[in-house]
Amino acid sequence: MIKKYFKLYSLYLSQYFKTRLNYRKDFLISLFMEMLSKISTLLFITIIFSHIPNLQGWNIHQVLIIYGLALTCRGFYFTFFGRLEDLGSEFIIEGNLDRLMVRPVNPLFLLIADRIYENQLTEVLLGIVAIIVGLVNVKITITFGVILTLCFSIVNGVLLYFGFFLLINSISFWFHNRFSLMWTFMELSDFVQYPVTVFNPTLRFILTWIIPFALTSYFPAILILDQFKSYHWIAYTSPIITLIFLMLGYKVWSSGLYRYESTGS
Amino acid sequence: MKKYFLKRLSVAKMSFLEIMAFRISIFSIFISTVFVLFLSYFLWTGIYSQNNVLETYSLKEMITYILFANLMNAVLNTPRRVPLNISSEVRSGKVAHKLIKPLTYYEYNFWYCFGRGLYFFLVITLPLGIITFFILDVVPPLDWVNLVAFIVSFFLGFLVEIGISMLLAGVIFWTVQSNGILRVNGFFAYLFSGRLIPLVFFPLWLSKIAYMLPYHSVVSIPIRIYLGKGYLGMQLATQLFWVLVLLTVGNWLFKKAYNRLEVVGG
Repeated sequence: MIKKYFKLYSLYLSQYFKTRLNYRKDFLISLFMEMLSKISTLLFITIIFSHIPNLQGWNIHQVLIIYGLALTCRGFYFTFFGRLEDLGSEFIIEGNLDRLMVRPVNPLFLLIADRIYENQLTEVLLGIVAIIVGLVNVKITITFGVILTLCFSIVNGVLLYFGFFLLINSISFWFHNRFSLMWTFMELSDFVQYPVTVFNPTLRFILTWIIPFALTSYFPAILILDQFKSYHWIAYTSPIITLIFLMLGYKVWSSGLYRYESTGS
Repeated sequence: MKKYFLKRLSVAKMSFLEIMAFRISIFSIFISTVFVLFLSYFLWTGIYSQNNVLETYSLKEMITYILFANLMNAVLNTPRRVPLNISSEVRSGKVAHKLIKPLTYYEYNFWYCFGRGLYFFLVITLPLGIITFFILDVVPPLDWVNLVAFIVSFFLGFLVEIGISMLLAGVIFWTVQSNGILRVNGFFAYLFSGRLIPLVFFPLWLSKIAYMLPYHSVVSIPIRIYLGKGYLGMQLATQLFWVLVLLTVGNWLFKKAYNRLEVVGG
């Protein structure tokens, strides 16, 4: 079963890249441009830290780790699950979901495998570079455990985004809307590129428990940096929250799918 | 004379009414702007927690700067979409319909931006500006002259933004490839206009580049005028200079492009 899906996914992927690499020069240029448009927050952090020694106790390298984690998770999410954002406009309103539903495979899988957004990998690249630069300069020994925590947090973060946005986008089944709510929530993910301690308690609470994007960046970072030990438990419970969102998202998706009645014609 | 303006204003009115139909996306822009305001407010308060003044900006001035920059952005964003529209119109051949209008294509797009900008000003910038003005600790206008100068300067900045966008649209007319140029422009507009951070914070080499480009006339100058920083005459002159240069060059590029334009199936 899983093997079948893996095989299908790689087939979809290779098919997609064949079409994409037809225009190789255009492909490379767009990757570079994407990188440029992503770099502004990094510039902001560097410029700010050339004027202040630390941001409420956080030095630049620690902030870089938080920033890098946030960027990497979001980048991976967009690369592999970005198609979700078109659910409302392209699949429900235009009725393209029919195409996915008549095949003997899970339609959610088909939706996601429909294409990947390879240009979002620039965000991942930027994020990983930031994490490495941060880790090298922060005074901690990089053990196998740290690397493992890092990898696990990134996977967890990506799945958290997936669960959350599956939930949000599945609402399109009830409220037909060409516009995706995703972008509004995406703005909130910009917040967690910085330590959440900067924000006021209400906002901090929302970013930790309700729209829990801080679980993708801040909390893994304090775990890795071995700081604020009293909050480590939140980092440890984050897989459970991810699981809750994944289940909730899938539940809403399924009942939405059940309700789906295609377009008129 | 009356007819002259009637023609142009009807284009602006059309674009104003057109955007009104997209209420939900306007709502999302509104929410996003609120989010960005929140983010910058807390971030800057955090940055200033150990300093009273950074690079001549006090916290209060900085909050004002960032709020204004983000509120103005809702208006300034509108011309940035025009090159995209133009490039798709050129590719699809729809441009032919626009060319037979009793306005030049350049002027048509200019007034189109105008209507859009006005709409976003009335729906996002003004209401949010008033709300934040009462909620947050913002620097009040220094005096009447200052306030009027700021409004004029904001308007000139908007014209510069239209000028930049139309210049790029003119370039796209020639190259057809649009994505790369527009991405770079978006990035430059964010960085060099001073929306990301006031230009005085830049390292020297970067600020030198910023002052050579027109972008700082769009955001940095109007807000600095509001805050009473710098020389008013010089600032307004810089803006006027860029308005004239950009509009002239853009117009010229468009005229050149008409002669070269081949409409598919036209």
